Amino acid sequence: MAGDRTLLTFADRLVLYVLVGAALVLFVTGGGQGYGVTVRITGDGGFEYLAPLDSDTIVEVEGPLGTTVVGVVDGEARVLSSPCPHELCVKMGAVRTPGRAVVCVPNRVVVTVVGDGPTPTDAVTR
Amino acid sequence: MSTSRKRLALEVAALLVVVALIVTFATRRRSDSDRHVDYRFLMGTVVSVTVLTPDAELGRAAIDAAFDEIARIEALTSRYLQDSEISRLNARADGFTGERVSREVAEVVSRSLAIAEASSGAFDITVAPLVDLWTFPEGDYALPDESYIRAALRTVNWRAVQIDVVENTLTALPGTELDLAGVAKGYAVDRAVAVLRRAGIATGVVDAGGDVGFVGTPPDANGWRVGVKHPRADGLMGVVLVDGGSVATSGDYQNYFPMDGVRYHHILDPSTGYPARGVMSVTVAAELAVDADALATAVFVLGPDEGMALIERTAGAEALMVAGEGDSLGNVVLSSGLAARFEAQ
Repeated sequence: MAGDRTLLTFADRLVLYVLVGAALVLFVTGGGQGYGVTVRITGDGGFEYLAPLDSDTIVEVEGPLGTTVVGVVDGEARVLSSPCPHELCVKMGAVRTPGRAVVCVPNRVVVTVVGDGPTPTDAVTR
Repeated sequence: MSTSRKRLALEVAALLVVVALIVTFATRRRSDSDRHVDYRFLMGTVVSVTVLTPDAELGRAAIDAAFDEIARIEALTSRYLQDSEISRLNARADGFTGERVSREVAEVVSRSLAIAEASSGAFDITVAPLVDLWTFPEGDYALPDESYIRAALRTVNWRAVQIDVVENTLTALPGTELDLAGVAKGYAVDRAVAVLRRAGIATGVVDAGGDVGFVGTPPDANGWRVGVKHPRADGLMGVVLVDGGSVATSGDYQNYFPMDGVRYHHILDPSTGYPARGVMSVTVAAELAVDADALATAVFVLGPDEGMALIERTAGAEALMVAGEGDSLGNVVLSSGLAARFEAQ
């Protein structure tokens, strides 16, 4: 009947709805790529360690005060121990989102999460 | 409207949704992969520079240029570098008149004296002799001898310094020693921000140990989201939203030692020679980081009432203060322009 005709067939509509669903899923999940894909650890004398954040490991970094121990466990990185006076880097806890970092200024160690994904803040003042 | 027309309208709407979502998604993904960040140890802290640009080569060059600028400012202003301009001036124990200085040192001193005057000396760049008494050593902590503090206070006087920003000349009375640590980091951030702008960076952040300067428009339409560290716990006290400019924090947790239940920290009251009391942290937002840096110290020293009054009468400045003493957290005080732009966590 002419009154029931539309420009799109049932199959067209099906494709359209699948596209809507797929777009929604991609939008919500960020395309299926995990956030914080890489941890970068740098130290004195050009030391650099790069590895996937979901790859559990312990990294020892030598600095002017001694050895800083960084743990990468369960998709997050943290300083486990440090020879610095106040151990502020240990107290900073874990980082897991891109752009966030744990820094030990006295022993010159920087632990950074690098990768795609939204960050909860653009900067932290401390 | 007939059933077929309604259905057609629905289908067109669905199509628009698909297009909108794909565009939104593609834009977000592109902006994420355009983020470039690097870190360096400068000015006694870690400095990070972040830029958003699809041109990785441009981003890398801009970041390096920003770091170079901060290193240059440090080389001029640090009194812990033997060859710096400030070290050269501080070596002149007999004072000096009309001594030519770099434009950069003249600008830092000029802003410092302006905030010293506005804060009635709560911020003071002549505190070097006091700072030297409080060395915050590792292990065997000791309070400075009272007589040493009294002696040091005799040379702490911001009015003993005069700057001519036309001729870039500095005058100081005998015995005056300058310490720009409370303001030079902010100035270096401002200079690095200017370098990024000149390099063509549309969006970026320079963070020198918590002194943060912003370039261009924020990724979030509501403003730059700046986390404020909790003064006594891991993580954040909250998030402030700023449109641009800069943010800096002074906190009693940054450098301190405990003794007999008292926290002796590095933010000294130039009128007493001892750490200022009654405040745990002050975060200031201002157009320039050099001002935010100095104001954060001044407000910390002045305390909740006088400090927030200073902020309210300073054009373009806003502040968040966490009052308290020891481990006893006090009120969170917000200036009038920041009250609606703070998200507690």
